[in-house]
Amino acid sequence: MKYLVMECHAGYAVLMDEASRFVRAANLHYEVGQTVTDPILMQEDAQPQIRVTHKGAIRIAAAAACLLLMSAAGFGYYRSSRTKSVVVVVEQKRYELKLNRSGEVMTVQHHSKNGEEIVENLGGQHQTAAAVVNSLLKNSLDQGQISGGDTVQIYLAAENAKSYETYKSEIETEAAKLQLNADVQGLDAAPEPPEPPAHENGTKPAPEKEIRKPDPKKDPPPAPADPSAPANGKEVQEHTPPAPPAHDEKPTPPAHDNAPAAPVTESDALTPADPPQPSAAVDPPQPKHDPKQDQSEQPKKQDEITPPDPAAPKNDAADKPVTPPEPVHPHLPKQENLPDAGPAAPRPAGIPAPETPVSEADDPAELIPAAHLLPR
Amino acid sequence: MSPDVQQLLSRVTEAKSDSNAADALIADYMPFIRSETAKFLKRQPVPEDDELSIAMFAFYEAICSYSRLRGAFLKYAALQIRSRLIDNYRREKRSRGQISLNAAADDDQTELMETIADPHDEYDAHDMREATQEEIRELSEQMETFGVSMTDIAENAPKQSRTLAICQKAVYYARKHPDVLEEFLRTKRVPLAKLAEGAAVERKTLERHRKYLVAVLLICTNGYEILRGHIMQVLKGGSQE
Repeated sequence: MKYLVMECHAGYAVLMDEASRFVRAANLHYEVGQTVTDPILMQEDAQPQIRVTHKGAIRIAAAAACLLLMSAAGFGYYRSSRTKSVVVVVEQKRYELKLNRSGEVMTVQHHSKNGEEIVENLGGQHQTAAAVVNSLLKNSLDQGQISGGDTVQIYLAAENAKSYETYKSEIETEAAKLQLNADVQGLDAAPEPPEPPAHENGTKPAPEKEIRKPDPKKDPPPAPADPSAPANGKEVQEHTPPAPPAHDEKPTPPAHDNAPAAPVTESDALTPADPPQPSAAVDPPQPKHDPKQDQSEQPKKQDEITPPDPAAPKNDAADKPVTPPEPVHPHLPKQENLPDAGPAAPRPAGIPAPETPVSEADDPAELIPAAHLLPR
Repeated sequence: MSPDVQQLLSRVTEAKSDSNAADALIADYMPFIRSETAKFLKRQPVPEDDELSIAMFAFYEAICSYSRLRGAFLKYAALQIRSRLIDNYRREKRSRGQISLNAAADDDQTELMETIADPHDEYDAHDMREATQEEIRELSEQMETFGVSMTDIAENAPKQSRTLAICQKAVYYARKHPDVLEEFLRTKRVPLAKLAEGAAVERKTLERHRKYLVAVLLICTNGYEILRGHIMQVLKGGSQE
């Protein structure tokens, strides 16, 4: 084949053959326009590629498989640990159960101190919502907080209608076994959890406690604490109100006129220092207030905790000692029997009655002012 | 890595895509190329030696095919030069029993070639070469307006016979339809859609060899009779293999 020299460079020449193919060849002293017949053509070799040996391929495949397995396991765990449904059980207390995709209870939230103990006694993981609800209701029945034939408010939210119906029927069945009526509603109708009282320094404690259910295989549940002993003496002092003064314009001075209220010890915390005397001269505290009246008293909340100063003048409304919140205590007389006790405000479903001395009696630290329990 | 090696690698990378840079690199490393040639020839090469030209060409091949996976560039280039020289030696060895036309005749100092009757007219051949050079120069200038050079075309030309046949089919269609060539010259763009549709070939194949098509379509236009005559069989519709 004949090649026509098209271009010459120092190291090579560009040739065109009769098939119109352009090639590079060694420039053996060629000139442009010269026709050559036997050039030394350039070898068009491929670029070197990274060789993957058999052993290397196995390693890469193994690493990829491990990565895939780990990703799949992580994704499965992520899917199973995501909250898909929520069950809120409200009898005397409020428990919030979070369920995963398969309906197992992952966490139980409660809003009371001894609720932690109850949750710990629920057992290990992988329990269904119905089983946990059964345990909670049984526990409440044992403690006498509810009795057979009562209606328990249960609020439910599920990822789909089928799950909702399934959970609802299971829970109703479990409640029926305990001779209780389960009023299952959507989670939208659930009442808001009660806010804990503000502390003296203005900081709020953790609003709710979330306890991941312990796995008995890994960490056995701790021995239950003595229910009679309060958790912390200091905390008891902070929450224990002083002697409730009268509710009228002329508040009754504290029992100890000359001395301020002594610090309350743990033993004192269970019994108020000065139980109110239901007499005609002193107006007993109002167990239930009108919501409007409560709203007007809202700004005084910060002062409600501070004990009243006995030496303060009583005529000035701004300087008068602020009425502390009404403690709910089993030793107090029933509020319905109080002389000035008004008609009980209509209580929405699920709100625990403030006058019920059930769990708060066990732990004074859990006393919640009545104003916090009323609807806003 | 020393700065000299880094500079050499950067120059090699640049020379891969720039023919002028490649020429400059070859010129700068001529002592190295001569040295490698001398090692093979066991003597100092002279500029007229084909071995030196082949060594320069091998150095250029080393530039084009080098990558970091191949190790140091100069060692790789030395290996390329030696391999090329060995190949050339083996090729020459095959024709060793033949007598050169430059060999001396029997009786006097005249060369053997002078004793053979030359069927070609030397003057006509010289005129023909000058005319060919002129055409190639014009073609190169016209190709510059399209932004391509001869080296680009050599890199972009189809290597496989099937691809070459597809491109030749498109060129043949353009030669049969002057309006396509006119549009090509007017717009300075290869009418790939028309060529692909008219020649019933894949447009993607034509797109890959656009620079090659520019050169061949320019040769098909008026003014390049010698070059057209060189590839006449292709332009007639047949492929010469």
